[in-house]
Amino acid sequence: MNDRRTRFEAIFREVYEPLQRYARRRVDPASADDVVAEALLVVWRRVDEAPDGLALPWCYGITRRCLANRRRSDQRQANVVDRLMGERDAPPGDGDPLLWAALDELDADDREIVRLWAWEELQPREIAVVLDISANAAAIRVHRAKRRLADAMERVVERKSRADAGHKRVGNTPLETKEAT
Amino acid sequence: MNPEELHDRLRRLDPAADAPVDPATGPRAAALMEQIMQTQPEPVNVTSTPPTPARRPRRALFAALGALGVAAVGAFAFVAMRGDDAEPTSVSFSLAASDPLMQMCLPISDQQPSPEASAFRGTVVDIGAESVTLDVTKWYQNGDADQVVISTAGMPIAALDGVDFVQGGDYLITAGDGQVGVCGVSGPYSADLEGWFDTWYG
Repeated sequence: MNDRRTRFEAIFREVYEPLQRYARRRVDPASADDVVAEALLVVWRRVDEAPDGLALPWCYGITRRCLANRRRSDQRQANVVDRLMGERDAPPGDGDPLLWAALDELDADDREIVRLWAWEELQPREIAVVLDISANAAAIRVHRAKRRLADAMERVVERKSRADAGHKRVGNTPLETKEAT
Repeated sequence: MNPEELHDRLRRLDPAADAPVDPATGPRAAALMEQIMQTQPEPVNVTSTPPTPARRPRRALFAALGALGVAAVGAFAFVAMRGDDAEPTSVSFSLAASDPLMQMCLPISDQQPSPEASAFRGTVVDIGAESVTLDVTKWYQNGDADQVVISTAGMPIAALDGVDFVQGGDYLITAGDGQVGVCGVSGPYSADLEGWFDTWYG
């Protein structure tokens, strides 16, 4: 029992702050605290299963499932889609609206993978632990998700260029022509 | 855009980059840690106190079903909804063609579902001619689809262990080898069954 406590205390200290950031990237702060507490309770129950050297990604995986369960429950109860996993992480206009738009074009799985890569700074073998898939599958999925994000970015930029060109054309239309139509 | 540029731009979007977090060494963290460690630590491994199932080798539920010659109705099938490498949002199981009155079941305290079994809680949202669809409210293990479709093809009624599925009903279900498990490991939600699920899959 003391071994479990010692192990849990060590994991808790390692993951408590990163898990808060992980949750706050995906839900509002109040919900994030609840999700982290719920996830840490699961960690306590399963502490014997924590993989050596990979406790943090393992805990991300548990938190991810807690978030998914919460999302299902919230959607059913409130019948609303809010800022939960799979939805927008922050309103557009926060720094890089084109990149937000490109992220929006990804499906939820790809979006989560690129967030794990860029925000949680995980390597494919750690992402494999989060998603409970093989390291090889994770490497392939990370590669594909990055490529899809880059492709989406190109599409978004192209659409914006076309839209800007269209606005310019409308802006250059002689006043009398617009009035005549 | 190369991967390094993409990574840098994504990093700058991080909504939690500058967000203050509760420090792991602070009093709030210490209180939370202590509160968590006050809870029952490892329900799966406790062997002496009911309602925890015993851990010595026992005839597993699904082996018992096989010995009774229960025929499988269909095969486990993932239905990927969002591309060839996306995680599934729907998963299918079949209902065993069995007569609950004729079944021989181990007591629930002796049941020990397989670690490979899927287990979830869900609400019935559709009862069709040959299937029942549940929205998953919680996965206990081995699954993360949003919906589960249970094939009832060939069944006279859509019933689980002799209990009819009802629209809007809340169920706890264990499934293994493509089949919904019976003999007490699946059924309408009850606090008792939820306790067993926490024990088996917590």
